[in-house]
Amino acid sequence: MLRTSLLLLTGLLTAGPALAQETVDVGVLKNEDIAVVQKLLYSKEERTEFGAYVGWMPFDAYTTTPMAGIHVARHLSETLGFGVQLGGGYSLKNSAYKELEGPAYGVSPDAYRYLGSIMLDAQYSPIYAKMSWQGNNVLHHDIYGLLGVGMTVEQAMLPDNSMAFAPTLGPGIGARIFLNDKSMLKIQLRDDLLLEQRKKTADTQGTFLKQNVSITVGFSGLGARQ
Amino acid sequence: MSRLRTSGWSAVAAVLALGLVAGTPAEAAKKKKDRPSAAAAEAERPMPTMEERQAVFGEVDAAHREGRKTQVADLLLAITQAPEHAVFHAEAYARLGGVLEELDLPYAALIAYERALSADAEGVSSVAKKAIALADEVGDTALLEGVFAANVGLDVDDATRSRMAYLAAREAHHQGNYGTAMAILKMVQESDPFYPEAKALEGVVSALQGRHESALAPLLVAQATGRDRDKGEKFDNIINLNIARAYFAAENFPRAIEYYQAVDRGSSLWPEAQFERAWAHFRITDMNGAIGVLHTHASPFFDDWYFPEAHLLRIYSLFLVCKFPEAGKEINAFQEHYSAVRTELSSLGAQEPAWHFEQMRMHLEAKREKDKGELPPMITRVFEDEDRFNDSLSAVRKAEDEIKRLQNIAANPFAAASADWMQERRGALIVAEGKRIRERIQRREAELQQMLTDAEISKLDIMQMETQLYQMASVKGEASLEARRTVDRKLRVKKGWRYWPWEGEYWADELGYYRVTAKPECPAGMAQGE
Repeated sequence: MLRTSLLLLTGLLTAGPALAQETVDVGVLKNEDIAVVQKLLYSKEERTEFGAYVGWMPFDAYTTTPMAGIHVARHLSETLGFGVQLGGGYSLKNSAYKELEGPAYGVSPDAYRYLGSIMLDAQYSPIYAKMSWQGNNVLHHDIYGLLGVGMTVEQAMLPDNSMAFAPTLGPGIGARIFLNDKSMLKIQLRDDLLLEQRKKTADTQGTFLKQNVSITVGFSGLGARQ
Repeated sequence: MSRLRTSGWSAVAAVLALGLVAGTPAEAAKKKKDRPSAAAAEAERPMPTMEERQAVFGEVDAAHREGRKTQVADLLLAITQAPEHAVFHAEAYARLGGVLEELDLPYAALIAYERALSADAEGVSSVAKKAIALADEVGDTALLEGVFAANVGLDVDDATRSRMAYLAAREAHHQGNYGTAMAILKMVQESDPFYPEAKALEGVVSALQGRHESALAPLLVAQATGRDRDKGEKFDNIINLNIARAYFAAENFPRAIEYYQAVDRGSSLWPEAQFERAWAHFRITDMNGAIGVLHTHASPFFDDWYFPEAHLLRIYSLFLVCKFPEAGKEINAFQEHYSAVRTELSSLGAQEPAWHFEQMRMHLEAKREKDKGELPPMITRVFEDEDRFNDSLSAVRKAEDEIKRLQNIAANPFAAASADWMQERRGALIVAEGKRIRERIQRREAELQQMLTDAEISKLDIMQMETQLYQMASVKGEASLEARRTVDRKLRVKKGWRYWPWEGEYWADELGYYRVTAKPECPAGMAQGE
């Protein structure tokens, strides 16, 4: 009898709230019944991308660098591509550099000026997405990561103006916003890691690891599928 | 629910009967008032002698030799207005057309030529070619359709006869004389620039005669020749839609779906093509296909479009897979939305035709949104890309421009007469187009009234079935229904395509790409409507 009562009580305790929450879920169209199977509007596979960009290296301790360049990439698939990026620029002294040069400190930091670089990049773009612009326009874009190897040319800002040709490893991340099937806006952040040999300080420290972090915006075209 | 099917089917048939390719103002053939009598009456008169002719045209010839064109026009007009010179009216109109052309008054010249052909087509057959060229220039080929339909056997060169045949066939089609239209269309030559349009019209006429399979061959020829001659995407889309309709009417639904899909997504015909495609899915009992296609029309992007039948088809499809609560919800939404639409249509339908034309004109010409007139988008969309309305509007503009120019020489009798002719023609075009718009509004209102009445009865059916569904679910347990729904339904996605799960958001770029994989939820004992 006790067992029966307990079972009944347990049943009431468990069944009560459940019944209150349950809704009859039959005869309706659920979200999982619907999917969007959409033709990829902007395909990169087997197409060549080419374009130009402008950018800035704003994060260096002593310099600020406007830059520009061109790039070409071949997309082997929607996710994988290889390319070449050729950039050039001219580093300017930033406020920190000028302050150090000024009467308060009277020193000139051993900063190197960015002149140019060539990078061979591998791009991996696993994300294809879209965003709604003010609820009206839909912008399709992809997000890619890149890793490049190459060479950067820099020049000392000190009066000796010595040159440095630095092997460079450049990881980065970017997004391509498709404007139409043949053109896109490209935004990229890359962090070039330079292994720089500086002759004039070879006695104390010959090798420096330098970071050139650049933010670039460019316009790219996509050629026909080949 | 069979009411829905009947209503839908008749609407599709009506859409097919629209004949998108062909379309001309009906009033074109009616402009015979105040015209010289027909050739039959004139045949009773003896042929005028050279002396008689010289007596009538002598002064005209003299003025012409001296280059006094306006005087020539006045003299010719006087001849056309003199009943005693009835036998010379055709020639006088023809010569007046030539002078008006020289005075850079193409619309007035076109009307003069049309009057010449109406008076005695055989006597002035040489002006047919000039008239066609002018009609193309001012955008009012409809003006000639009536006279060409009555004189298709005129002695003219092959190219002119071919073009005349096309215009005459359009008139015959417009008058519902399908057999005549078919016969005349055979006279259109392959070298004619309007050959693709003629073949398209042949296909449409065949369909209207109920010979749907016979419609396919000319439509396919129209498509092939249209592509060869760069008729453009709009023409191609119209032909794709008409081929799809022909296949649909011939009950070859898979092929119909193929051609409906071929209508370009950027085309203004695309929503209509998708809706009709849903019917094709429905007819092959692919309810998920129909619901998926119509998911587009249920999106907020189509709130101000007119697709009541799409909503009803979706409801019926849901009903047939036993989604009764969903169907009930949808039918309530349908009634709420379209009751308001019907009220709006009722008020618009009470206006005069000229008002409709003016509102449509404002819609097309206004630069600012607030100046776009009072016709709602569900009506303006029908006409804004339509060749026929745009041709008529262009003709009205040209007539107005020419009337304005004639005001500078208003003292001349010919100028006043030409202005009157063009005012008359302008008025006829405005009324004809306004009437078409009003008829469309009134037809929609009547159709909606019927649908809303039927929906009341359908609603009762749905409620009854819904109750049964719940009863069965409660007696037999929901588990059995759940088991049906949880069957693996992964979609296979082809390379070059993307799969996005649906989370209740409508994105503009996803319209037309919805797939529905709902399982029918008809419990044992309740027949599934497949």
